[in-house]
Amino acid sequence: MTRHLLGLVAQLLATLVVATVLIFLVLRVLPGDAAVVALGLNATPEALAQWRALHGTDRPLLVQYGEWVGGMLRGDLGTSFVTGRELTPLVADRLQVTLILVGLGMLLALLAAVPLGTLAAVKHRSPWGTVIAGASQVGVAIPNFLVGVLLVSYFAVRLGWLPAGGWTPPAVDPAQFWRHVILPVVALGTVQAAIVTRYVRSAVLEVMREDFLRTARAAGHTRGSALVRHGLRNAGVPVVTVVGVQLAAMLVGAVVVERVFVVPGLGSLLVDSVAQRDLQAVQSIVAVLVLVVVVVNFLVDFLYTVLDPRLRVAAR
Amino acid sequence: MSTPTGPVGPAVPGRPAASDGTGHAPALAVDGLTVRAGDRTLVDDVSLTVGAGERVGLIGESGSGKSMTALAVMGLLPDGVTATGAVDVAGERDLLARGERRLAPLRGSLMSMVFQEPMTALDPLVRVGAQVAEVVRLHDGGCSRQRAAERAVALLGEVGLPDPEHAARAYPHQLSGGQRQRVLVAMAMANDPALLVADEPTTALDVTVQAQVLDLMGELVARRGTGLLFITHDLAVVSRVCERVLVMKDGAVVEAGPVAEVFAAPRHPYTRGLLAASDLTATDERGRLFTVETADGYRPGGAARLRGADVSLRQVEPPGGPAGPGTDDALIRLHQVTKRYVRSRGSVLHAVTGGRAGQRARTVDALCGVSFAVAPGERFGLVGESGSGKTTALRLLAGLDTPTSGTVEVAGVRLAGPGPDGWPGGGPAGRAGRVQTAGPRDLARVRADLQMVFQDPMGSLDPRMSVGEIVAEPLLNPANRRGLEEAATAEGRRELVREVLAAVGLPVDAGRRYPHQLSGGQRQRVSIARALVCRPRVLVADEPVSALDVSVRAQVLNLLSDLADERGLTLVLVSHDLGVVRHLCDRVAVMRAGEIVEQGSTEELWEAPQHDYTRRLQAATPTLARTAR
Amino acid sequence: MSALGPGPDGVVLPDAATAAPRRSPGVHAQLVVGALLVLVVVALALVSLVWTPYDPVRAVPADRLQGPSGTHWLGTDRFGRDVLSQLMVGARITLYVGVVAVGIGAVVGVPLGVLAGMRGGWPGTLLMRGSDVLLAFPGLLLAIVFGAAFGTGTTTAMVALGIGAIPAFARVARSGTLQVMRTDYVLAARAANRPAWAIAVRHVLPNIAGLVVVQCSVNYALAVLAEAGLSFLGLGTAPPTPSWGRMLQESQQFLGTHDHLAVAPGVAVAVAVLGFNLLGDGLRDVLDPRLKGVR
Repeated sequence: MTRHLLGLVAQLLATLVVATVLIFLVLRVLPGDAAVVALGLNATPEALAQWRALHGTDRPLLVQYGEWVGGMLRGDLGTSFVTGRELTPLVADRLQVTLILVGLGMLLALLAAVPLGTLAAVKHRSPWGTVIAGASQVGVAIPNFLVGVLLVSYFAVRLGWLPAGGWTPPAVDPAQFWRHVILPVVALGTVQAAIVTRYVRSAVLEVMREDFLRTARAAGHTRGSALVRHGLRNAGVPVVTVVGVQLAAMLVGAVVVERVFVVPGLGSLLVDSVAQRDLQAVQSIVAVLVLVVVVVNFLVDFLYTVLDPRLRVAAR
Repeated sequence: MSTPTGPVGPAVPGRPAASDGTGHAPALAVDGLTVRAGDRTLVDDVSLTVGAGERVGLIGESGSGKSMTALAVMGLLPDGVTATGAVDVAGERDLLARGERRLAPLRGSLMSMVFQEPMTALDPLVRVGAQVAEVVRLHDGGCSRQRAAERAVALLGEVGLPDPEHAARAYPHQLSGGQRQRVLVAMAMANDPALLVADEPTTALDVTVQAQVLDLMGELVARRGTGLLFITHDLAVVSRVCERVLVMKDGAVVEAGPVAEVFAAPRHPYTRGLLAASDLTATDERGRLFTVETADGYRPGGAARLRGADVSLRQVEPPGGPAGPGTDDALIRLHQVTKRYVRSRGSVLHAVTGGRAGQRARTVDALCGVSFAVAPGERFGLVGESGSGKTTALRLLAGLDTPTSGTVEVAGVRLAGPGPDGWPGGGPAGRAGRVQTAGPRDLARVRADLQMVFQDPMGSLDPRMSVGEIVAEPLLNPANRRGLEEAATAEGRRELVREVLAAVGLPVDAGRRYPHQLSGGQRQRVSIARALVCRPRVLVADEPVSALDVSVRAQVLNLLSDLADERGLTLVLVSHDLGVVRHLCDRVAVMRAGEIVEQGSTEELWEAPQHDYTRRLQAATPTLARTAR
Repeated sequence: MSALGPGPDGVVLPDAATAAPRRSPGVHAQLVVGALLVLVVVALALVSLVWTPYDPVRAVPADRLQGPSGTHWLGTDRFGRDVLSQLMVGARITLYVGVVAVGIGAVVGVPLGVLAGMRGGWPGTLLMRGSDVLLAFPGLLLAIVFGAAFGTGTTTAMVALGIGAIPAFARVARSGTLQVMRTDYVLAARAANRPAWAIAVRHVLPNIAGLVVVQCSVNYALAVLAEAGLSFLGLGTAPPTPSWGRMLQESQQFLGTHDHLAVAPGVAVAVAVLGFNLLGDGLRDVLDPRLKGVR
């Protein structure tokens, strides 16, 4: 078990190292001179040289990479090429907002998806099952920004119940926070709910065909109690994977919803930085996002071994 | 709950009797049971009774409806399958009319069931002790967790698991198949049911393990007076376990009666056919096994004739008689061969399929110093249980794998092993010098001479290719076409395929069909045709009949035998079934745990086994002959 | 030689209860509906090549912000451009991005996956580790990074989405290949001394084709969604080329007053995604029930 854990950690670290190298390559090496990118082709050589000296991009790439990674290890994400501000507090602020959105969105999705998916599987021969399956199929196809746009149009513009956008941190004013958070979370959560529902349904359907459920029924369980007692935990194993993958996708996918609701999340910051061609900011934000994704994947792998004793043996 | 947990004994006290005055209600009474799936009838008007404490066998081949009958009794039919008729269990009337909610409490207490596949029948995420305890608590709400756990350990001890305390804490994947089946028996017997339904409970197990589990079930059932409905395709197993037997075919019972009577004097032609085809010790005047069609000449318990015991049966006599290792003109020779597999780290597959409790080793010695030789024209059998290394040996001599040390020679080609001046004998297992593999050209020569037939007739045929394409595939390789120059053209290949399909007894149009359109026996014929199409000298067969129904098994064995005679083939047969090997082979090697424990002529080995394991294997193999006596 | 014996030949009924075939009648409905929806989108795109009701990019200030009517079926936007015409031309971009993204993913990913599955050992391990690293970059993030490095636009978006799809294809191809390589028919081919390329071409590819096709259709749907999202963020197709995502983004300021501007492209995206998803599900059931459940 311990060795398995160490293996997972080693894998996590290796992935991070390779990922930072890739990010650095793509954002700092391939596009060419960062100064030209920032100032444009018409900039004077003096201005370019000054810019390079200011941001340290005239030094060898390896040094720059080392400094960047070293800084991140100390919690320093560097300074923006454009505004010259410290990135760390900004990113931390924005990451918090995104994590709140994604966390609540996934929570909402799971609260809806687990019962609905299970119901759809158990009743897969009845109209109810078909309705849920069909609805989730449609839900998966709807882009979350469309849901967002429609929610704004109805609940904010028409009915005026909730604000159309903006953000209040929970520490500042809890009531305002909840008013601002509801619509974006619903927009994120409904589409996720549809996706997870489909996976829960197919996992439960799969598990319902397992021999051990028949054994449980032969031992005196009804269909229902056998499923609750032995089926759901087994169905949980694949669902955990999907939730992990979806969390990772949501982290970045949330950016679209953040745009719709004018929420200052990390994704919005990233898109703004791209628009301003602020490569230093893009680089550090992407690294932070990748770190979160990799940690989520790690937790999923770990949860897997907790759930399934067979993998504990494999882990040795 | 009407379940007594009282002392053991043949009588079942305290159970509410049925209305008749005979004392005890029968454990099971089925009347006019019909099972339908849509418009297909799977079971047609079946009636049967199992008396209290009686052991009844239900025999049939795949598709006969025997499993559906069992599931209908338990109320476990799959969705979309419906049953009509009357099912009474131990005085509880008309179970088919009960809903799931009223039926479920009877399952596991009044009646219980053991299934075929022990590997998947237990919840993989729950410790086995907890699964047994759950059955106890399910039917006795008053039983405390603590008591249930103690009872579970006691039950696990009762079914013969060593160190039950420890076993109770194991997860299913940490137990072997036999051990898991014991756990399932413990669950089934936990509440002293009046009826135990067992559906092929030992089919997935090794012979020696099968014998143990059968003995265990028989003993438990007898001690507690449980009625047993035992479902199997294996007549020999029925004769070992049951008092009465019913034979099912196409959803209907065609014959019923006491085992001794039915097996000694079958009345229905199908029963006679099944018996004849099952009896690998009986042959007709031409030395061939009986099939369902030729069963008329079959006399149960007749004189068994061994292969090789009567020379006149043989058309090709191996030159030099029963050859031993070291025969100079051997066609196949393995010398001190070892094979060590290294498990890849973190491979889930290996851990799930092969892991045992506490087994941390990364390496597995599949073969430890195996030597044997096969003379041209000889029929050589490798017998062993799962994990004995017999299939590994086969893969090595087919050049599909290379040995860790030792030499493999086939048809004069040294497939692998150190050069002549290298390490004779291979040295200490696994560590001896780098083994050189044969070059591609040598392999090509060997593979042209040696072809394989596999166990699973479905899995060994590419579902996307027609039979004609499958059979022609070996011919696409120029190296395989020696002496078959016509195979260079598509037309020539078609002709060769037609020829060989006819030789294995497939209809002319079979070449255009796809594997899923054929029956199991037909698929195995395709597999044999593919092996023979480039006229090899050696045919290697890995469990060629173990996935087939009894009636088909005899046909395929006869076919193999005929083809070997006609074409002068050298046959290497791997099987877990002593009976199959005994019928087909001249010489046998018995393998266990990567070693050959004994080898010799079939006759010697059968009549006077030297090694203890051979004797155990022989004793464990259920035979019909035993009952006929 | 006896002819084929009777015995249990012919229809083999499932003896084990679990083996009952599970082909619900809805399977083919899914396939048909999915194909129809995809066809609608394809037809829109094809027709737009030769005809659109209006010039999709010409601004007609006099007609701005009209609701759906007989002259403009889906109304007009803030510049007076015809929404239906934009939608039709937008379908082209959507399909184009999907084709290129899925093409890159499949053409690179499938051979890598097959190779890793057939060879095993370190190439397989390396490939899987590589795809692990790529998996740390969700498709949208990769597109944003590429946009930052190479400038935003349709080409950047579809190349990034294509690269992002490689791991999925490689994984599917590898697990399918591993399954095929474990079968006895591959062993039989090896025993008949067939070379590796022949096994790959004759046995592996035909047997994993179903899986790959399903993956194509799933990834197509993902690409459509991602492209719409990128255009919505202003990181995808640049104006004035009409694109569904940007139409949605532009509609935002007229929410509550001119909802048709959001609904039309939104429904278009949903129809395309739903079509490809349904097609994938239908194909999964029809093409290869045996290899089902492979991830």
